Formats: sequence, structure tokens, C-alpha cells
Amino acid sequence: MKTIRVVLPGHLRTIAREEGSEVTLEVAEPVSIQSVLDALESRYPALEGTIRDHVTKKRRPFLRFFACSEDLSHDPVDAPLPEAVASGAEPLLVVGAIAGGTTSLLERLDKINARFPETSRYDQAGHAGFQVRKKVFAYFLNNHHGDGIVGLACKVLPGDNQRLIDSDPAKFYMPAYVGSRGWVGLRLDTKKIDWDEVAELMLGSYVLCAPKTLARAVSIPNV
Amino acid sequence: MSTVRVLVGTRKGVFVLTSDGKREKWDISEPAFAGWEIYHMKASPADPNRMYASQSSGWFGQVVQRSDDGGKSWTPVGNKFIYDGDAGTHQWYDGTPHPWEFKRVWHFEPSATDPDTVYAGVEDAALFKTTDGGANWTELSGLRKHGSGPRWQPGAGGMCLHTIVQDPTNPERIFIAISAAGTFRTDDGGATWKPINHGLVSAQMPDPRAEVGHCVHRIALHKSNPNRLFMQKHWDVMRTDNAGDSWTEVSGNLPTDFGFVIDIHSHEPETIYVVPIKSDSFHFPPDGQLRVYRSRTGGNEWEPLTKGLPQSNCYVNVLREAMAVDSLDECGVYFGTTGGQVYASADAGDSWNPIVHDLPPVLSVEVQTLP
Repeated sequence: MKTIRVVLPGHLRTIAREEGSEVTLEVAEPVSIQSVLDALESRYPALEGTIRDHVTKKRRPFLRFFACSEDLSHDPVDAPLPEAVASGAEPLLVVGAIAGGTTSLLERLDKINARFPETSRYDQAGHAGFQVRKKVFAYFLNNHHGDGIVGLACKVLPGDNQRLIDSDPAKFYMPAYVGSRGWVGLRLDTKKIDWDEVAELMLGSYVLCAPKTLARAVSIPNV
Repeated sequence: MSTVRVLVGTRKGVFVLTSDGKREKWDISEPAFAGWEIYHMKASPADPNRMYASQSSGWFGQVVQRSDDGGKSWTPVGNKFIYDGDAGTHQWYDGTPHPWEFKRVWHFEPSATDPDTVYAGVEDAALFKTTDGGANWTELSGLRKHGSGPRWQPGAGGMCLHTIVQDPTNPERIFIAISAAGTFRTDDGGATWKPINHGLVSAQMPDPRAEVGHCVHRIALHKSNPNRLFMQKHWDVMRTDNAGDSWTEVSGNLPTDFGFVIDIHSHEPETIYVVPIKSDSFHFPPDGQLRVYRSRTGGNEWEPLTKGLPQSNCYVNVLREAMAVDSLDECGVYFGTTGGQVYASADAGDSWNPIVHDLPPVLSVEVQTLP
């Protein structure tokens, strides 16, 4: 048996009558989302049906499972959880998603944005613009003009947008309006997101768009 | 002196409004189940301290709460509503077959005699029953499987079984209403059911007089005459004098016969109340005037009741569960709005006062008259 930490949303803690933000569970190995939820519901029967369906055991659509800075919501429920969760070093987070989880995406983008000097973010109609001083260097786009895509648009070197799209059309796309001005879109609605790649794309765009004094303050090879 | 307890279910929790029999000064509780939608909350007639609340949210689904001490404390009970056997399909909005899927409990109707027995009306439309205080729920599937189920389809608010009325003189007879299927009756305690929609005319339907498919918003029965029921249909106010075997329109001089609520004076079985709403595409009162209409003749002749209600710039709705009456000698009438107001009349509707102005949108109102 393993001792597993689980962080529950406030409303579920109320139903479970748990005051702390975390509960600990003894879970049989191998530790997976399924075995953790089995143990959780066994200890707190009032939570049955609130995280996953009684019969199908499918995750309720507006809930997410996060751990170790990864979204595990779409992983098979019987897949082993990361060793850090299985060892109790990190908790499994049950999170109430907002608008399909785009807030968590924005939070990740915010953290990358915060690495660059004199940046800010503005929100507009479900989208967000990341600015250096008053110049936008990246757009977070959520179903822009009904295209059904959640993605990040950044400026790249001339011709690189088409080359990136040709190299991986499932990942990169030509964004409306700014594509013709040398920008490329990176999809964020895929199962796995390479956040190092996202950071690299934002950094490159920052350097291309920022005033020279600020651009020189960050280093980027081959740009 | 008697106590009146008004149980208000809202988009963001339950509020309990309490007053003495004068119904002038009200105590307003802190919200219970704050942040959750409470579609309905009702106490057992057999034990006023036994209450059931339907707590739900888009995130966490359905929770059923039970109180044994008049709402001072609550315990989650069973929330497993599993359709009996192969759930089958009903019609989707586009007319295609769609599998039955449980979404939420719209209405709890506790038994008149046993606090542990409760009926639950759910979306997608079905009737469930518990006999152990909510621990376990069993579908009375004779309703859904009587034959017309595959032709039922959702109304704009979903395909919900929202009204359950028990015949106070015959425990085997229950009436229920579904949007948008119509009204049904059992005479054998829920084993078998039949549609009782003869006389309903819904011009929007391909067959306006079809056996099922009518969007019935609410039905009400007076304990002194269980064969007479009143109905607020999508459009039309209707009446039956033969337990639903046939219905007659009694909209009469109403300014519009669209609406959601309908209720009956606790001591005058011919006195009924509705709140006319401009239309199905507006969902607010005509002319920005919030008016309750009262008929003292069982329908057809209606009078507007306006004293104390906003008569300009009012664009709220009054949802189907959001009207109730108390049983004091001078009948009290109560209703809640989507604007968060709860209005009370201590004189059978002649005058109104807001008990509270700024609650979340009101989904349901029930009243307990306590000795």
C-alpha cells in the first residue's frame, strides 16, 4: 500500500467534511487515477458520483486531474501515476476546470511571460495578448473566429511559419490575420504540450518584437 | 403563534426565511450549500424537521442532502439515480434518437405519511422513489417505458420531470408533468402510467393535439377536490375536473397565458394564482409590470394583483417551482424571481411585500406552516 496525497476542491471537501486542503489515502499498488479514486470514494462515500460517473466511471467533464505540473486528465485512468505522486512527495490535484481548462493554460503562459522584462497581459473576449511595453509579441487564442483551436500565436523569422507548419501540421497552424505577417500558431489543445517549446517560441517572438535594449537583455541563440 | 418557514432554492444556495404568523418581520438565514444550484428543497408533511434538498453543479453533478433537524444540519445521502434496465432513447432537439442520461433532480415530493419515502423527478425525465430516507433510489420505470418515451423531447430547459402531485385521498394515484412530454397519471402506485393530455392544444407542434409532446410547465391540485387540477402549460392555463382525463382552457382575460407557476389558495379550491409572462422568447412580464393574476372562479375570470409589486421597469421571470402558499387562516402566497426577490402576501394576494431583494436567481420556493 502507498500513502497518497490528494487535493480536493473546496466544495468537495465540504461534502467530505474535511477541513484541510489535502487528504491522505492508503492506495493499493499500482497507483493510478482509478485506484486513487476507488480509495477516495471508499473513504468518503458522499463523493461518489461527484468526480466520476457512478456507472461509466468517466471523469466529470469539468474536472481535471493535475500532478507534477502535468495535466493527467486525458491519460488512461489505469496508467501509473508519476513516481512523485506514488511516493507521496507530490499530491494529485482534483481541479474544477474553467472553460475547458484554458485558465490553467493561461497561468502557464503567464509564468513564461514573467521571465521577460517589462511584459504584461491583457484579456479580450476569451483571448489574451502578451505585450512588451505596448507591443504585442504573443497571442493566446481561444476559438478565434470560431476556428475551434486553442493556441498560441507568435512571431517567427521570415518563412519559418510555413516551414514549421510543413514539419508538423498537427501541431503548428497559420493563424488568421497575423499569419501573413510572419506569425505562426502553436496548438495548445493537444494531449501533450511541450512547454519548453512554448517558452522557446515566446522567447523568439519577444526578441523579434521588443525594443533592442530589452531584446539584448535576454539571450537567445541563432536569432 | 404559528411560524412560517419559506425554503428558497437559488442558483447559489438555499436561504430559509422565517416569520411568525403575522408575516411582517422576517429572519433571513445565511446560505446553506453556498455556491451550489438548489433546484428544489422540500420538507416532509409527516415530519416537518425532515427535509430533502437537490444540490447540483456543472462541476460535481448531483448531491442529495437530507436534514433531520429542520435544516440545522445536513447529511449527504444517496445520489445514484440509475435508469432501470436498458435506458433506451428519447428524441433530441433535432428529432434524432438520443440516449437517456441522468443530469439532475428537479423536484422532491416527500410522502404525505412516511418521512423516509420520497419521489424524485429528474432530468432526463424519469421518476425515482426512495423508501429509506434517500439512501437508495429506484426508478418507477413504468412511466418511462409505458410506450411513448421514445417520442418525448426536451424543452428549452431540458427534458425534466418537474412536478409530482400526490392524490391526498388515494396513495395509489400520482400525477406528474414533464417538459416537453406532458402530464401522466398512475392509479396503482407508480407501476403503470397513462398520458392524460386530452384537450391540450399546442399550436407549435406538428400535431397540436398529440397524445404526448406538450410542454407542461406546472400542475396544481387542491386537497379538497383531487379530481380537479390546474395547469400552466407553455401557453394556456388549463383545468381538469376528472383527474386529467380531459382538459379545458381557462386562460380567459389574462394579458398573456404564457407562464411557469400556478398555485391554489390553501382554503379556497377555486382561487388560483398565475404570473403571466410576455412570451417564450421574452421570459419577462408584459409591459415591465410584475403582476400576479388571481381567479376566484377556477379560471376564465382573472384580476391583476399589483399592490406592492413593481409596475415599471421590471424584467424578471418567475420559474415553475417558485410559487407556494402557506396554510394559515389568511392564506399567504409567496413567489421568487430570477432577479433574486422573494415576495410575500399575507392577505391572499391583495398586497405584496418583498421579504428580500437581492438573492441569487430563485429556482424554487416552498413554504412550511409550523404550529
